[in-house]
Amino acid sequence: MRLLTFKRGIHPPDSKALSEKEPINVLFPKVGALLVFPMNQHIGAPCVPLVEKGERVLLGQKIGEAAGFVSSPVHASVSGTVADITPWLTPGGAMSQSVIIENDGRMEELPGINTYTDYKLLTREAMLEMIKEAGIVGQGGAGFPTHVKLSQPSDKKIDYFIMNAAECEPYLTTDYRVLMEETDVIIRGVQMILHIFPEARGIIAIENNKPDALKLMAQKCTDPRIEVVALQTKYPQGAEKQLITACTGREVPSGGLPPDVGCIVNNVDTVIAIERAIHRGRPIMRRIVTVSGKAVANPGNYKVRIGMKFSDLIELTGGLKEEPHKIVAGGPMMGAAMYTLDVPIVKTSGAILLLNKEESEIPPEKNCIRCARCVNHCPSGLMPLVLNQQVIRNEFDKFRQTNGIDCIECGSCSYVCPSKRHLAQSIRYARRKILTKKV
Amino acid sequence: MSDKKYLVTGTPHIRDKASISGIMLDVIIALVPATLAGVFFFGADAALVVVVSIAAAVFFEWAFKRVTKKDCTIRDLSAVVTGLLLALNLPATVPLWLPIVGAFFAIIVAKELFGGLGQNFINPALVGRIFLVAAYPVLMLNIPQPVRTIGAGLFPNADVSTAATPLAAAAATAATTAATTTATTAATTAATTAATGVTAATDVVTAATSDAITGATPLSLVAWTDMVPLAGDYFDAFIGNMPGMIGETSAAALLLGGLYLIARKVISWRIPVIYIASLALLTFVFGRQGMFTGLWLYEVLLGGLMIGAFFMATDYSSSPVTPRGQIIMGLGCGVLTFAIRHYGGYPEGVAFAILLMNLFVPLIDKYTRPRVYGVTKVKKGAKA
Repeated sequence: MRLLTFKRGIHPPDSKALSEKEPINVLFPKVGALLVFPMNQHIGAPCVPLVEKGERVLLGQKIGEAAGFVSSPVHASVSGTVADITPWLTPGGAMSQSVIIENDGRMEELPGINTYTDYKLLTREAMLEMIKEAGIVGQGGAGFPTHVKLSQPSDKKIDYFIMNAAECEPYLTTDYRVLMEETDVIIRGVQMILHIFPEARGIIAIENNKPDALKLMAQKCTDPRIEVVALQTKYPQGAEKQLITACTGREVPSGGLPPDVGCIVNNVDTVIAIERAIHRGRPIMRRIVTVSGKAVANPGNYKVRIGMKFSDLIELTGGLKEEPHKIVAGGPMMGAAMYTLDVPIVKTSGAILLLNKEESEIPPEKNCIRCARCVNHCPSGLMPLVLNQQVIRNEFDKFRQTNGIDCIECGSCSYVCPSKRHLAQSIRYARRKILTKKV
Repeated sequence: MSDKKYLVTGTPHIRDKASISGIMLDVIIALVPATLAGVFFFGADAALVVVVSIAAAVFFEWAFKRVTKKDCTIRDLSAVVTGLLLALNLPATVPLWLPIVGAFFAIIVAKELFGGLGQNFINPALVGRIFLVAAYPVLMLNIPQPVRTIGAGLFPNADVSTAATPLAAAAATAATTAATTTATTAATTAATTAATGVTAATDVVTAATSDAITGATPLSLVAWTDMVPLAGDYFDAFIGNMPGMIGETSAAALLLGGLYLIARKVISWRIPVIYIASLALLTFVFGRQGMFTGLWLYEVLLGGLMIGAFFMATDYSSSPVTPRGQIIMGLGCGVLTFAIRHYGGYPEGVAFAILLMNLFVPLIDKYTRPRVYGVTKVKKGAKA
């Protein structure tokens, strides 16, 4: 099999051994547990709550209505009573208006969900509507509403649909587990997307550190429109632009989006969500989460209800082995450090890492010694050491001129820096300022 | 769950094990063969110079940080590297206060006054060397013969004694212009000794121990005479059986260290390989005795090229960070070294070539930026 990749990048220790052998374990919240449903789990306008305090809700019931096209509805993942509607901290670090539901433990479903639809009989528009109504967003972490991504104007010819199962972030193993355990669902999901883009070819992209998943997928995928490709194991292989370049040789232009080069990329979990929404009529209510790190007692992969608090989930997995030093929502390269465990699992939560001191210690920052490692590893071809200097000096015009805005914030530069400089952090700061037009 | 506070930082949350001190330690390890070779060939004097130079460099770094009330940085080992490199660029015969002066200039003037590690725009050890050559030419050109040799006589050395004598005299005259007039006679004798080949190792030992002054390194012989090296001369130059600075003479030891640095990915192959290759090519093409007759292999093994190409031109602070920039750096050093060696007043040009190229590094970096993902050249020019 061909081994595809992109230029530069890094090879961090993958730390996947902690959880990769653990089959997906289904966990249900305790009776009486409070589940938190932020109205903003996606990029775009926050939802408007549809329920009121004290109201009884059923599993699968829509509790937040999308406020516009670039938005995505939120559904209850348990049955129970609305305990409160109040702002709550999300794993993204922001406060969001949230519906709090007290789980009654009965898992009483809304009548009408669990209906089978044959996607082949659906029009493109009907499929997109179902995807929208199911509240599907980019599950890889970005949270961009999937129906928007899949609604390409007719003049944009899509040649490739790429399913991203690179899973290049260390520690994370959910993509691997679903590739092994939900192989057929995934293939059907890709076929559904090809139904939306009938002229496109499907590519299932998997890093070659998952040889058994590659083998199984290649074995089961007999659709001639879909190719299973092996990617070189390298971070950030799963970054959208780098993945497109690896798979197609095309390069997304600066400031452009994948459809500009005829590509659509979706995470494997998004593909599963699409399959379940269309084939089984189920909105997004669950999420597969890797709980890992050396501070956790039972690292593994857990299928959990969206809305469950991190603290409740960790307790259900068997608790902590030692006091964590750092808690990360997501992977160790791009995930957000949390100051509390009192945050809910949302649609984009792929992992909770409980790292001990040894795993997460970052030595103090020192002078840049111009060793060029950041330049040699930047997948975007930037010079992080130069950008870092510009940010420190508040030279945002120069930052723009040297293409700082093209940074994908993968963190490779900070990772390799022997002086432990906060390169990615400073560049992200400048990008945020520029993108929000504050400078 | 407990109310313990958790660490919150920006991404990424994991970091590579690499550190400045780790990199510097690799450089020190890579310099061990050359240092040992220096001590072997030039005796205890060389060891003493190395120790004093390192101690002085570390002391000045410590003192500067203390006086300026900054965090002490001697643990990053960069001062050790500078001190060691400086020592390897000195003759073993220098009085021990000389490396101290050199270390002061290297650490305080070239490095710390410009902001410390990573901020110096020229190589501190080379600045130290050039300062000492300018300020104390007599001491710095007092280049000794090795006190020991390895395998001398394994290969037939040129029986050039008769043929070379008059030419060696010419070399000595030239050498003395650079050195001093007081040393003329001694220089002539020693130069003759050098020219007659190192086979007579015992003679050399006596010459060296009697503080013979010689400006005539093999490189100056090549530059100012029409000597034709034989197998033995190549061997001597490769192993280090020749007069020179402490750490310069053994191409073998320096190559070993250089390859270690490349294998450990501390340095890229670009600067050293292109530097050496371009110098070799130019030396061959524009031979001293006519086009395409140059003694490229012999000249590449001589002088400070090996230590310069692997350890000096690759200094992080004063070399380009971009791949294309590193190629330009290597080429520039090669061309300048060739020009100085062939057309300049000095037989050796490595130090000046590298220092000159150091000054171009910011410019090189600016114009050799890698292509940014998704940015096409046309667009780049059109950008507002």
